[in-house]
Amino acid sequence: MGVANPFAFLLSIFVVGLIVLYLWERNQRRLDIPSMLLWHSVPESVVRRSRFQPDRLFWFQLAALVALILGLANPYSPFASDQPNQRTVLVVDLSASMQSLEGDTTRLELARSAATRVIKAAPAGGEMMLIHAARQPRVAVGYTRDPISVLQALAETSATDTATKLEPALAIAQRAIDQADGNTRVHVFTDVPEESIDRRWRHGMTWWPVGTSDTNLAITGFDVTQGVLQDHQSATVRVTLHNFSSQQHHGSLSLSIAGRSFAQRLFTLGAHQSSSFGFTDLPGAGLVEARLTENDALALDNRALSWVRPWSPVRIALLTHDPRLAQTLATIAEATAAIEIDAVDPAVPPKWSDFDVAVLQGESADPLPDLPTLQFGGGGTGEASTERLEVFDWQERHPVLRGIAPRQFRAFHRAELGEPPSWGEAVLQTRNQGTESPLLVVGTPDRRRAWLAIDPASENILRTDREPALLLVLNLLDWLASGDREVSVVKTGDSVRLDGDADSPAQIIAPDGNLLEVAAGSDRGLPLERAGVYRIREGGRERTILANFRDAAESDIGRVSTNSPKPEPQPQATTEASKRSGLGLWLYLLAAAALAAEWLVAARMT
Amino acid sequence: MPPEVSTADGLDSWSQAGSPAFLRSLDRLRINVGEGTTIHPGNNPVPRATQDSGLEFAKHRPYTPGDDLRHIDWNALARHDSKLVKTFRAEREAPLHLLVDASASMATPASDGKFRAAAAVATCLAYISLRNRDPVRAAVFDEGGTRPVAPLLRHPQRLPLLVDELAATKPSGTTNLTRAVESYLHSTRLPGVAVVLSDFLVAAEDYQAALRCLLASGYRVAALRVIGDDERNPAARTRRVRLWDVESSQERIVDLTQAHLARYQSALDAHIDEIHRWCKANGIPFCLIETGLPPSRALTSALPAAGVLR
Repeated sequence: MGVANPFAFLLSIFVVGLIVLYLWERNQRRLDIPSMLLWHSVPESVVRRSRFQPDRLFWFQLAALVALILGLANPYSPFASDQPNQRTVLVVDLSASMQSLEGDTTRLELARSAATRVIKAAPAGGEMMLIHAARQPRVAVGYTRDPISVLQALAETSATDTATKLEPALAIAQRAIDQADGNTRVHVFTDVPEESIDRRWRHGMTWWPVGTSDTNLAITGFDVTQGVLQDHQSATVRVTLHNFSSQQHHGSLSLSIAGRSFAQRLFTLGAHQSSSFGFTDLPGAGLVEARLTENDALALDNRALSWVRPWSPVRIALLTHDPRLAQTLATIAEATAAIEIDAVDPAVPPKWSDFDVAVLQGESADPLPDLPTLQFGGGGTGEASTERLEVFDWQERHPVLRGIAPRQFRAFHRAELGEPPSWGEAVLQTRNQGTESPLLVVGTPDRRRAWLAIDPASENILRTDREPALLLVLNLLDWLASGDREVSVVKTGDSVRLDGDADSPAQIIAPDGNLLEVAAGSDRGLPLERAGVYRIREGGRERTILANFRDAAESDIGRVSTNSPKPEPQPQATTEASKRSGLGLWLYLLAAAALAAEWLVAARMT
Repeated sequence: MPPEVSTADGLDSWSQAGSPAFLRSLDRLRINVGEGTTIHPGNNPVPRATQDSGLEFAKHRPYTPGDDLRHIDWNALARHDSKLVKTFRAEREAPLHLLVDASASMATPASDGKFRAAAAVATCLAYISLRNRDPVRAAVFDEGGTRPVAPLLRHPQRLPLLVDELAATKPSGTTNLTRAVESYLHSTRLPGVAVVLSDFLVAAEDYQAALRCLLASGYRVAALRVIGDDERNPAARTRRVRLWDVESSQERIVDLTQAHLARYQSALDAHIDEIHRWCKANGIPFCLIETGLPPSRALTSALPAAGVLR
């Protein structure tokens, strides 16, 4: 015998209250009378003054109260079912494609309806488990005999904006089958065809396919190309569309930037065709959004977000005594309108607030200015100079290596490998004569600085065959100057690492407006399950992450299964009229009977 | 059934029943002392009634065998040839004896104010008696017997003595009417009209013995039963109550259901009827003093109707 809602026993305090009420009534109500002479004809009550001896009404009231509490607790008996210990595992797909419309409803609603029918048809007293399958599997409701809680959890489910990863959820269900004694039934509610899943995962499971529509146009590519230190007018936008349906579709693509629409294209796409559209001369910088005005089944992939960086010149304070480095950077500044360089005497510190980035060589300034700093190694001493560089490791996704192919790292020839700083992480790692040492060390986003072992002057980065080195320097200046304006564009399902101090809390504003607090010391990985704009505040800094749903396999919603639809589940003979499997209903009836009896007895007494 | 007062007007507060204005409204009333019951000349204790000897001639009455031949009016016999006996008015005054119950039951239920009403009625009766030049002697009684609350009053100006003493009396103790009456009779030798104001919540034997004792001592007796609304309809906030007898300290836990209340009220009615019936059988005027009704009605309607006043 177990109980589905043990918290109901907390209401037992009312029993104490009932007893106290009787005691209080007995002790407190004294009626002074002039004489007992006239009261001898009135029968004395059964209550004794010496101890608590309640009357029949009390026992009826107590019975009603206890029955109500037990009814809320909903006890169940393991022998209530003809099929004892039968277990039902429900796996519900919550991937993005489950948001697809099927007529007036969604695939998730169809799955929910089918799961509800399965729950109602399950044998009374059996155990149930609900597993959500999306980017990661999650056991929403562990084994329980209370179908109401499973139905409630099922009603509260919502599809995510990520792709389907059904196998991990099926693995959990498969494990439940393996551990049981043969009475476990697994029902999978998904739009993924059964045959697309490996047989070993779906063995012994009942597949409930939902959805037949394939009408979906999607933005499968949305790229903003903006060169280093380029303004928005130099940026280009390219949008790639794909028609996943088996019919030709017409539609319109509109682009807006900072909420202001600036371009619209009408298009016709044949069945399973793709098309790409380019846009230039952007009217401004900021959040750029592409949107398909097409009433297809899945609206999630009709929208894409990206970012056009606003332009402003980078003011560089150059602290060096090396005229060659000054000359090299001056040449770059002359060719790039976005860079302004002022040579500063290291002995006379200037007003640092007038600059965005400080560039120095070796130990040109002590202490270092409170600015994002690019520090070139060496200083011309040549003590650790080498001309045979071999870059063997790098962080490919770091923004300072944007646009540089790994094979181009071999373009570095000269470096002065001094003592690397300890405040950052190595982005480029080099090996020289069997010795490994960092070539580029970059600090954290909240403390932006970089150390580059090469000497731009001696490396002569202005030569055409040194283009990767020049690009690396420009990337570094761009990254150092970007500061708080950093915006990242990622795909839903990716995890973003919080950069701030692990000991400080972080606040995340999700696309749906919900505020998520990440406590200090907790996991610093943030899974992005919703498409839209995330704003992350940590360590006094705010950054923006644009999450796009972009998954061609998930957007291809036309997944016709070769298997025929499953028959409707029939209610078991042992299933009660009520959805509760326990004795709750009978206890409620018992409470009502006790109350009625109490009323009758009270009426007779009066 | 005893006469009852059914309407309310005039002075509505028992606390103002002793005011001069209210007392003046009682000037026309007299204590009904009744007729003499004895033939012994000079010993008739009931004043203002005709008797066989005295100074003031009252009337003739026919001779009946057994009358003293000395009392035959021989002149009338000679003139009318019929034997007539002369009767005279007594020379003595008719004292009013007020016996007020001061046991604890007279203060319960407190909201009824039974003792206050009894004291007000006693004050008014004393005023009426004093206005008619008859002395008043008042006493309260409880478990300890009787206690005079004022000296023998002979003038209305002494009435405040009685009022103050009654106001200062706090009801307490148990009721023992027989012992109280016996105690009172030992303290006085002036028979007259005895008015007993009580709730009579004692055994029938007790009040019957007490009233018989007064009758046997030559008193004309009147019994006034004081009762209030809460005594008639006891109410409580809860159904189950613990009854507490303020005199005997007995306890009884009962359920105040409608049926049980009906039983109580039936017992109360039977108790009052029994007193009334017994008093009527013994020639004792009996009247209910309802504390929930105005005192003017009790004094101008109920008491004259019962024969206590005229």
